[in-house]
Amino acid sequence: MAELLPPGVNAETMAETLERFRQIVGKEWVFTGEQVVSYHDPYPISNDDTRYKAHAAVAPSSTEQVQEIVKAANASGVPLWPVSRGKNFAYGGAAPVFSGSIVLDMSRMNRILEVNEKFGYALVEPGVSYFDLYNYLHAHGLKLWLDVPDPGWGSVLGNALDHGVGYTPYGDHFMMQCGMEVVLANGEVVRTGMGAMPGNNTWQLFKYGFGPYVDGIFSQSNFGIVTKMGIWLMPEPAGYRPYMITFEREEDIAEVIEILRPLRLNNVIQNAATIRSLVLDAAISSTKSQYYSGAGPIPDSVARKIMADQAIGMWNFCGALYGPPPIADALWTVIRDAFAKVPGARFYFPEDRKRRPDILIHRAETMRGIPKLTEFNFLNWAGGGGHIGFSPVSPTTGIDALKQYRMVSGRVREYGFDYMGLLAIGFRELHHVTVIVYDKTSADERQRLDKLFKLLVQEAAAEGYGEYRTHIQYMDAIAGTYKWNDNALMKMHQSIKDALDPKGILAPGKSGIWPKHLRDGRQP
Amino acid sequence: MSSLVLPNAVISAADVPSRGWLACDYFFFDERFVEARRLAGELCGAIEPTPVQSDITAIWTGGLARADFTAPMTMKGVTTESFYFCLKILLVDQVRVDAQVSRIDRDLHLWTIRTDNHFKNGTVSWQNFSRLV
Repeated sequence: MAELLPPGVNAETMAETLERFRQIVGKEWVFTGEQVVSYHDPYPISNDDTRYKAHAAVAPSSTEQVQEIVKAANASGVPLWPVSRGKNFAYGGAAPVFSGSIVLDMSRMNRILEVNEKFGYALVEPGVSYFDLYNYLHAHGLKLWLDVPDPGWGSVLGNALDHGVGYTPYGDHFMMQCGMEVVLANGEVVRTGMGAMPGNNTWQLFKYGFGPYVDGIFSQSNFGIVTKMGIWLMPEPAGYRPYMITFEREEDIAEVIEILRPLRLNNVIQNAATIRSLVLDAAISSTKSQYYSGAGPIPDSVARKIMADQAIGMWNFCGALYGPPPIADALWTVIRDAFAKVPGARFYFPEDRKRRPDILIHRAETMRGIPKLTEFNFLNWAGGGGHIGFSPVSPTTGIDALKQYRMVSGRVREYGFDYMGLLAIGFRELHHVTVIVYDKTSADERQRLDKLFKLLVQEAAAEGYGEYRTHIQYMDAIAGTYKWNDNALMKMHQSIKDALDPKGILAPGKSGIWPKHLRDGRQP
Repeated sequence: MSSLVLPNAVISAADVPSRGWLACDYFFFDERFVEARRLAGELCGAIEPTPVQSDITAIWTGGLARADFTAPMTMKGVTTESFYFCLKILLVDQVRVDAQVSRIDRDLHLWTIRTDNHFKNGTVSWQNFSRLV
């Protein structure tokens, strides 16, 4: 396939820009031709081979190089698609929304600049992975825990910026970020919060500084390129006890959530716990063909067999107790007594689980901040290896949880897929993440998935449920659902975009935010 | 590069490319599947095949991440796709990689990954992966 050029940029301008990039970073760090294939979405949904394709990539090693690259892009009008490590594979990986963009790959900027054990934080560059930071803490014997998402190879900085979540009490990653360094579209470098004051020593301790708090506008956005970020780390607790509670019936989810809400709001449930569906957990240790050779979603009889074989429920709640044993014992008594009211509830600690691999043994590690790649096992459930996340947010109520579950699972099964969902428990809301596993090699299946996904977005929005994060292919669709008051929020985003990036060179289309010259025909 | 899809195919040692197939540094097989066990027995050559169950984490963090990549290395396997995919992505953070894969049934893939000694500084990487399947 011929290399794609972004509209408005001719081949000569592109060549001159790439040559300038080579002068900035060295010729070995500019990638073209066949090398660009690695920046493609490994799990594409679109059957249009021209969409979501980068023209080239450039890999700087420092903030100064990022500044120079941005200045050169601004001069030529060539769009950039910044990625930290590019491993957000369920949402498009390193691939750009806008074909012809040059991927700004910051994986070489992988320095852990500071780890402070006394105050519990790290200052990192975009290329630092969870594995990197975990290994650093371990090698230096530091009594700090990470909070990790499921893929340990992801960027600490990038995951926080994309509003990723983990499983410890520090599970809301953007809540735990403190202080940024940002390269703006004109090449200027800004430090946020206390970092704006020369000589200040609380950049990673106090988020807000003085005046408007701006860190949020650099998350899920295209207003600047974050080149450093502080992240708070959890002091190693005096004790740790993971547990799992299983529930037998689909409809139990309503009662479970009602029980769970006050426990979470009162910090009796201390961590960002999850309730996961049968097939999602079964797929960690088995494949569909081991239980069922028919077409379409598994029937109820097969679901019951899996439950019996693997000692898991239709829903499985994994949580953990953190702190001195007397405190953990007291919390556990409250949690156990509360969930014991649900008929058929079963309670497990790791020592109760004999099968390997086992879901609680696996989650016991992620809930203590050990980075892993185990979760990729679920891609094998039906063969074909593709996956995408549909992630609406709802209040923590039983009514909403059951309604969400029925809406999404019904459609997913109608379109021939198994329901593989989890509810990530925030303080007041649920992230209902449904993973749809599909055969990436099947054009028909991708087309069916595309229709399903669009329908899910529409139906969720009609009921007031909005997605918190999405694949690059659906950013416009999701942004379009946040349309209250004649799209007032998007208009504000566009005003900020026009002010900070008037030539529109940073990540056109990210989160549905397009620069002025590319807005024609797009909402609002 | 081959990305041949062979649903329900019966693969034997005689069916796979002969050049280099019996020489490798690691051979991984998914011990849960009869076909993987059979092919491991036929194709692993002189080395002891390593049983896995999809998850690459322990193999990687338990030693492979610290392997000496200064010399070219060949790894082969009959595994689920996620094992192959994760290994490939992890390796390209270290070295340049050439990969070939064939799907042999609903669950299993037969694959070869060869590394060379370019870009082994561990700082960058996966853009060196020129043959993503």
